[in-house]
Amino acid sequence: MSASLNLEKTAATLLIVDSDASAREGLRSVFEGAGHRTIAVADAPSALRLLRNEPCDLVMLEAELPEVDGLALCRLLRAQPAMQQLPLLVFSANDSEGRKVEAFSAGADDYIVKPSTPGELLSRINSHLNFAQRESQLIGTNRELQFLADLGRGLLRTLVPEQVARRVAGATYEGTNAALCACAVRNNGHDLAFCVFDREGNAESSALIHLERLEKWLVSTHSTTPDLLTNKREFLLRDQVHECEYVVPVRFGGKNVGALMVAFGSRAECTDAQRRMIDAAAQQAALASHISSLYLGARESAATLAEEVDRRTLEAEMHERFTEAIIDSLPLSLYAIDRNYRIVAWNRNRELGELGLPRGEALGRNIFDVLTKQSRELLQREFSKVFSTESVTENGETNHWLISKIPMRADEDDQVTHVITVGENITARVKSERAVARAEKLAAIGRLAAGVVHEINNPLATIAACAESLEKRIEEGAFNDSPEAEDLREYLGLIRDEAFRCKTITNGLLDFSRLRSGYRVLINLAELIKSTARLVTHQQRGDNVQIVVEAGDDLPNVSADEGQLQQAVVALATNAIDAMPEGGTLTLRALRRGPRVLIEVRDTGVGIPPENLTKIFDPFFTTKDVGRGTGLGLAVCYGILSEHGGRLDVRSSVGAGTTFTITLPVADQSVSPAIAGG
Amino acid sequence: MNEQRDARLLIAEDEANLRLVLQKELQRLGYRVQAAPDGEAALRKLEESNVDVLLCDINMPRMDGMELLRRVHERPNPPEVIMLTGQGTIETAVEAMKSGAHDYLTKPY
Repeated sequence: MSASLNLEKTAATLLIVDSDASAREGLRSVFEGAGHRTIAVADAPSALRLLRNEPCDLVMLEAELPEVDGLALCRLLRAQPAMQQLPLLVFSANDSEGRKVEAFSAGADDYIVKPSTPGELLSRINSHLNFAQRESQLIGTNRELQFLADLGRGLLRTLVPEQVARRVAGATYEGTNAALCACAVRNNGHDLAFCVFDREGNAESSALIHLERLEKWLVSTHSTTPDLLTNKREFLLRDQVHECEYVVPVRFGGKNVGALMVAFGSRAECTDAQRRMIDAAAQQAALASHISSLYLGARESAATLAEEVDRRTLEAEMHERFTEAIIDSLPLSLYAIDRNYRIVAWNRNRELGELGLPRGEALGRNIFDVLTKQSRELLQREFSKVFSTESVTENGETNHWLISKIPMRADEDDQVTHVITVGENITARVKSERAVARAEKLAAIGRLAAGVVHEINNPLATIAACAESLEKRIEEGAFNDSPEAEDLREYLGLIRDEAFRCKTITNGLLDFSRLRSGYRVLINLAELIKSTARLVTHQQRGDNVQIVVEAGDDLPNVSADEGQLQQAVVALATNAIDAMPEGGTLTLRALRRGPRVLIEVRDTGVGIPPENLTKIFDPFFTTKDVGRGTGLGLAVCYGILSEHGGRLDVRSSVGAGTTFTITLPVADQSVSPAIAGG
Repeated sequence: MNEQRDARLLIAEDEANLRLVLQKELQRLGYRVQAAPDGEAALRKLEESNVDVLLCDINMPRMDGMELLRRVHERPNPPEVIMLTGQGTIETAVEAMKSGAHDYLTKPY
């Protein structure tokens, strides 16, 4: 915006109002001699009429005019807003102070007393003209400033290109008295936002704009400065009326981001002042458009960002739920703690069972407060070990839980941040493994036994045959002469007997390996244990074992294979005696317990160490020296009792003694004993 | 068994000692006794001469007692067969009897 205050001496249009023709002529020649243009009228009404149609730069009027006098004319002129700045010079022959005062009060700018010299006249006129020029410039400047201040304030409130275009077009239209005013501003998406203001109002459509010409104009290299178009074919605005267009590029960052197009009815209307205002408006539009594009960009990325955050959050939530679901579905019980021993995870399986606890009650709490049943010291040690050594610790407990403590790193740090404890119930697995192992061993024994037995029978047959043959010869009197004949006969008999006894033993072994069920009868348990006592009493090496028999009176009978059951109890009693080489007490007890009967074989001997307790029923397990025990005794008992639907349990403490307990179901007394299926 | 003292016997048994004792004692009782160490040898002997009773072990190399039993019954005029064995299972006994054995003894006898 240029506010030039150079006082140009341009030719002005002067209006002379004097009733005297010669006076008019005189003034006329003076003014025109100075290069001004003059119009002369004789009276006030003519002056008024003239001024309505023709703008003048100064009015020189005679104070005394017919009908409406000069001062009245002054007042009339001043009453019109458009005539406020018009210099009014009154000249008069009257030199009185009163008249002068009156003239100034009427609105005159100067009072010149006739006669005056041309020089004086011209000086005064120039002075007033200059003054008027300055004033109008100032007012113009003021108006421009006002316009720009208003536009600027208005643009503060605009955020989007459409609003910028509207404000700029509107303000410019009003501020310039244009016929048509349009503003185009690019938004971030390379579209143009328009607003066109004209007589009919405003529109945001581009109907009144030659769009292709505008686009071309915008990218043209010439369009860096304002352009004044007078060729209708080049006009950017569609209108029948206007004759010239002032087009200013809206530029920011060295690029055209839009245009401000103002159409004027005539070339003359497009003054310098107007152009300055439009330029300034365009500059403001540029800044506002840049800010609005920043705003749009920020809004977009905020929206995108918000969307992205939502999406990521949802994804993370879903992932978390998914992981939780996996952990909950595991048939293991699982919990995890962080380095502060706080519980951070607790799966569904861990909520169940005797030691179970609902997740809500576990999360966040200190693990030692929750696992009150385990030794804090031991737990702490296990956790510390995992935290520091990063190895998995496992321990199987007697009730067959495999507890593994596993290190976990939440991020890929070096440090272990959490310990996950996983509990797997492997009881069933362990039991079945043992059962399978036992079954395999038994099967192996069976095969071994069958083979051995068969092998042995042959030599036994030979032995028996030889002995029998010799016995026969003795019967026939072959050795009668010999004094040893008696011994011969006796020993041969023994040989034969022992050979057949071997057969019984091996048959027993074969029976075991085939687990053939024998003939079952109702057994009186009291009798059973008494006969056992009798049988084993001769086993002991010395006489230092005391045998105690306790049998309740209400003992019901059991249905069993007598031989096998006796064999089992005898085996247990024999073991008991073997456990007391220095002597002790063997107690044989039989008692009823509900629907079952118990037979207890208790000794006060060396006891069985805990690590052996699970192995004693395994075939071939023996702690005796080679050749002394086959390790089959307890396995056989176990097998016999299982066959009878019973159980064999053991309790022992080293140094104090051992108790074996046989449990058998009470026989159905009403049923007569039947042969069990083979 | 005491009636026909001049009956001809054949013992098929792979245990040498037992074979010896049996042959000796049965000859002492008056029988004419031949012996073979396995099923194949026993069959050869059967072809050479007539036999009235065959005492036969089950477990023998080359040809076992059950197979021998079956082959014997394919021949015309088979001897009576008595199975002698160290295996005392009911199953083998039944099978032997089905295959035509006259009797069945388990060692030692």
